[in-house]
Amino acid sequence: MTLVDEPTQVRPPADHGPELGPVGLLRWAWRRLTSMRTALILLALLAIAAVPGTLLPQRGVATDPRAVARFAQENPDLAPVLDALGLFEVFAAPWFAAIYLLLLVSLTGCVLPRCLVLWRAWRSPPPMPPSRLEATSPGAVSWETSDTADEVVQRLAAQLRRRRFRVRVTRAAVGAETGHVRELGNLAFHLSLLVLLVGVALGNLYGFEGRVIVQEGAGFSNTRSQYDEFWPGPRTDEDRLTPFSMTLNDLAVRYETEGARRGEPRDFRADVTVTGSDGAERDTEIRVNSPLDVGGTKMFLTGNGYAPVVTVRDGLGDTVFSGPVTFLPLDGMNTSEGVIKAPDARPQQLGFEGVLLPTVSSSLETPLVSVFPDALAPVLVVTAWTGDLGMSDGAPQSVFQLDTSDLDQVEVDGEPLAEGLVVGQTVELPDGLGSITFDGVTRFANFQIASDPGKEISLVAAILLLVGLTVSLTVRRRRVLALVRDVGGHREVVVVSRGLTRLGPPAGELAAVTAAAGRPAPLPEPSPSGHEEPQ
Amino acid sequence: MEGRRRGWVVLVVAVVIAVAVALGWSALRGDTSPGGADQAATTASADPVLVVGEADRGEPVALSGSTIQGSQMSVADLVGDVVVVNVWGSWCAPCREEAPVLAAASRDYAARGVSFVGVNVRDNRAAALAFEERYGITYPSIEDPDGRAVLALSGYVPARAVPVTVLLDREGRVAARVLGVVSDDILRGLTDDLLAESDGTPTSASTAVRE
Repeated sequence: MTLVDEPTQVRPPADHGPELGPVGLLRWAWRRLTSMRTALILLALLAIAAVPGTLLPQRGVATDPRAVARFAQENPDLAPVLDALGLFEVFAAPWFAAIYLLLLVSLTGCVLPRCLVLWRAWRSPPPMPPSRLEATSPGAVSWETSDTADEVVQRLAAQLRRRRFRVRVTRAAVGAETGHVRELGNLAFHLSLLVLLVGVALGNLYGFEGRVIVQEGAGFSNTRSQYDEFWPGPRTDEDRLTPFSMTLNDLAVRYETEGARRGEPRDFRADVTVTGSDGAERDTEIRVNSPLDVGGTKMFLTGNGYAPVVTVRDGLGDTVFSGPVTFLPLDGMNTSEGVIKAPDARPQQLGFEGVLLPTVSSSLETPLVSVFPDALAPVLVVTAWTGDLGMSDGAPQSVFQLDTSDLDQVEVDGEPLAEGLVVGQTVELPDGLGSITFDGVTRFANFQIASDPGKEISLVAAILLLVGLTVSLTVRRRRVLALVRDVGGHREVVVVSRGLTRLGPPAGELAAVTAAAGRPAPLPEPSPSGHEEPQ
Repeated sequence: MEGRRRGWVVLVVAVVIAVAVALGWSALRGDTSPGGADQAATTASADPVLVVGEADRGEPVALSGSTIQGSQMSVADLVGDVVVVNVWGSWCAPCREEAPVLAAASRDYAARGVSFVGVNVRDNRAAALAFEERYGITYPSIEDPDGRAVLALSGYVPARAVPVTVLLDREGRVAARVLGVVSDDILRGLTDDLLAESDGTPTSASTAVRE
């Protein structure tokens, strides 16, 4: 037997709270997720996650589709590592999506209850002053009066109502409040944050981006097969794009011809004819920052280049190719390279690799260089190949590359054929293989096409967000409370003004209200010289 | 939080995050198809052969324009025939693989009320004519430098790449579409089905299976 009675059960240590059941756990998890701190952490995570997406080249970006490939070429050791980490597709990565989703959930769970609180605050009537409102409370103003309590209260109420306070009046007290619109601004700010996220998400889910090269004289119709590159959102309906057609009649490019900026492009203008789904045609212009807008789908003019026009005749004398070929620009002087394929040439298929120099200096010395980006004196340098272009096995090929594995390069006197052709010049290939003529140069335009169904929502939400934020930061919410009581034979009026925001009530408001309600002018401050002014 | 409860909490949080990631993956991971001019035609599709039942067919297709042979033509003039429309280009390697099939079929079905029409996209006349001569294609092809003909077809049936073959019934409505290289069996099978339609002969049961 022990000397001391011990309790028969062990009491749990003091820091154990009550057991949480599974429901309680879920509620705890939800409250953690929707707390302001979590939302801020997730927002910070989103920003950090967006950093590699902004600094590193990304796949699937319409403005520079080959950025990742270029980066991989320049950094052959680093690129595979970054790729394995998924840093070239940050915005399409599942972990980014998880952060975005969690942030959306967290913000919604955080904002909606707060909206309820803000709404109630906006609707709430002003409180009445406490019965123990002392004349010595900080910021209080008091005076003695001989009027009845009712008169004082009515005068105060009238002054406050004139200043657009919400006023509540009892027999001897006044409670007034103003600045409720601040809560409305706060509410608008929080709600528009959510709507903004939804708008951005909508645009990403249902929108798309695409790119297409259109030669002068040719056109483009808004259907999936016409795009050179197409990046849909996860829920984009590729089969129901806004139907329209456009024809590129002319692409005018103006270059700077004088001074230090010689050779820089000054202006781009595409003259197009657009046919809508109703069949109506209209002529319009597309300029660099003035896109074509058809039913929400926009076509932006983002680049241009040259498409040399060539005619290829085969060994039998038939014309097997005659038209423009898109060449891709390599440098600022629009030195462009491309490939011409004539798979139906007889007796042998023909292929040409060409470099177009838009303006060659008059001396025609080797090596040939282009000295100005405009096509003032174009020269097309070609080498020829013959054999099997590799197109008959049905595997798709790049139109910008020649697969020379089954081709033999055409040679003249033991050297590969390389001719610089001026406009109108023909080079005959040896052994009766054919000939190629350089007929001239046309331009092509590179268009970026985008559709963002959520952008109007995002715009409205962004404006509302800024308006709400401004209102919530500048409007001062404040209360004015007044009490009239008889104390020690006098009738005393105590008025106090309380600011509910950090800014506090406007200076002088209380003095103005009370002065207009009958408060006698306060004693003036003693003058700096120390003399007391007579009353 | 004590050890056991902390374990539960961690588990719950981990599950929530895993669910969020999984939802995020499935909702935002879409079918990104970066086809490009670099790959002249992406012919891969989960649904290469699409057959449209008679009750679901839309309006007759309005397809017309100048041909690479230099004349004008319109599909509306071919009403009464089954029409096979093939979108192609001389630059398109898969088009070369299916060209012999189309040439042979166009000859074999000529007397049976089937017309073949080509739609030549992104090409020049000389190259297109040289292609037709090489493969013995004798039917006309509408030249389509701005894609309007393709747009007219796309209104009825998804035509995401080149080559694509669309079959029209005797009233000119889209009845079937084949994405990519069309094989001999599929082409002849679909054509026979459409010919049999207006004859009153029951179509073969394999039509439904082909989707």
